[in-house]
Amino acid sequence: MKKLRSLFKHSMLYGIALVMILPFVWMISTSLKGPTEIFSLPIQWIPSSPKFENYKTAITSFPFIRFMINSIVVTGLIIIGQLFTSVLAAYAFARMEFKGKNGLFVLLLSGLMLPAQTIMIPMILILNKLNLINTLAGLIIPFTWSTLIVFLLRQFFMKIPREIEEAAMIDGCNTFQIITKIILPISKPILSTAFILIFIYGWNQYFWPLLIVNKEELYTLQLGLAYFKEVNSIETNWGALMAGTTLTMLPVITVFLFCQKKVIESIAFSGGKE
Amino acid sequence: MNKNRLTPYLLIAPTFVLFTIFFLFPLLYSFSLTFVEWNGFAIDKTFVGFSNYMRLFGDEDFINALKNTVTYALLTVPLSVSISLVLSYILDEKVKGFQALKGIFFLPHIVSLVAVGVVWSWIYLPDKYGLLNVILGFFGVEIHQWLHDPDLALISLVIIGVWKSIGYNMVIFIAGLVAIPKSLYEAAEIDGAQGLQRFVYITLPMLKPTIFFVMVSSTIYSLFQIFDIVKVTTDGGPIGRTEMLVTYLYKVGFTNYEMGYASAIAFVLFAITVMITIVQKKFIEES
Repeated sequence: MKKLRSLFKHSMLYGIALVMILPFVWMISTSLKGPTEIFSLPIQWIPSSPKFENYKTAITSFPFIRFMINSIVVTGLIIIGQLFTSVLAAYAFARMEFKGKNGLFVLLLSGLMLPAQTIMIPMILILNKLNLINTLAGLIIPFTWSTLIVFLLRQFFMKIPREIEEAAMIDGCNTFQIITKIILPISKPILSTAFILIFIYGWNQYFWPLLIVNKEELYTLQLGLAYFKEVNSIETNWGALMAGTTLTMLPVITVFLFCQKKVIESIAFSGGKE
Repeated sequence: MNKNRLTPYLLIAPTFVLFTIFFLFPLLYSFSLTFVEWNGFAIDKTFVGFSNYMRLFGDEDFINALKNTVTYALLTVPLSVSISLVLSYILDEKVKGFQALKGIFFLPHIVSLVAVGVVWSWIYLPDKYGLLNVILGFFGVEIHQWLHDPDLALISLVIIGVWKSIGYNMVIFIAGLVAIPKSLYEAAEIDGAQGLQRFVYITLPMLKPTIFFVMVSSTIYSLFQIFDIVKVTTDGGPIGRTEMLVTYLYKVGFTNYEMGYASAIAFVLFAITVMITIVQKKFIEES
């Protein structure tokens, strides 16, 4: 009976795991196939001789490198921006007393869990007024703050013993020095959590970039990929499309492979918002 | 002294300036737009009172989008929650390849919705070469059009949604399971409770707050994450069967240029989100 149950349990787990990973396997397999092999029955899971032709097509027939660079710049600056603004705000909320503190914090929390689409129209009007439409800055500046990151950092800062700072204060350090010299070095675990969360959020963003830029040279990878699929929709080159998709996922998957535990912890810990 | 009093405000200033310009102000502005008729370019906006809201009731496309959104959430959330609940219960550290399995289940959650949409369009290919058709054909199922079939398109999206969210929900449930005191299970064992009984009488009740949290957050999440997938796979078709509130709102705003009406739709979405959140808060306060 116990054996039977264990067998049932294991086959269920492995069965579902197989279904979960199948789309990724199929994507990579297709990306390595030649045009005739892609449409051949019965299905060939492992290409007879893996070809990188599709990757070449994806990169050369489209400004893929350009999109990649845009994505790296945009995501990188969003990470820096969010970390900068959030560290400062989180420190104030964790450590200082000031008028309106609680009210302001609750107000900030209202930024969680609201569909972006509810504010898209005024947002575009504002970005237009600020001359940020169709600029890389437009893809970055509006996203350099985060309720979630302020919240996570604040929770961490509150647990740091006050004595450490008091000693530094007596030595004449100002607030900025306390943050950079004392708080940040001991906050590495939470900063890496924040880094991972912002990285995945920034890299995968599609909705806002779609609204903010429509010039091809400003496209991020996600926009580029969606565009790549659209222009190919009549007679899709699935091999090249799968190669492009694989490349688009690669950075996130690489981070995941190297620090799976940390990534899962970070996302679970943050309670839902990507 | 004066300088010190200002310090906290200076520290929170960058966040709050951005928060105000790119969140608070747009939210209020959006509300004021629901009372006007405006194409987004003209200098003058026409005040129309509540007529944008009244128009919603007679707009078949809106009702269709609302229906699709609710159907999608009602199918995706319970399916995903129940599968991930079972998975979290049976996936313990004694299982061979525990870490790898956890990683595989979680993988779909971290990749972009655009990439997911592209890959699944390929899996759903509506002919004999489509992967899903091949696999189901193995069991004697005939070829289906999936995303192109009016009767199957929404279901096809539900499958993607479930696939994408199982891993995340599972991880949250695992965290909840760990928090259940071992002594409860031991006590139950003395009383003779076994397997399924343990699950029904101890695990489920103890996990209720977590289940509720996951249900609520994935419902809200499903309201807007569906945008990217629909945009990449069906763009609302066939014959409007996968049109969602968020995609319809996008079309009214940026294809028809009816900013007032689009804002009214946006506020319905806003109201739905707020309502779900209030229900969640009430529940958490009670338990």
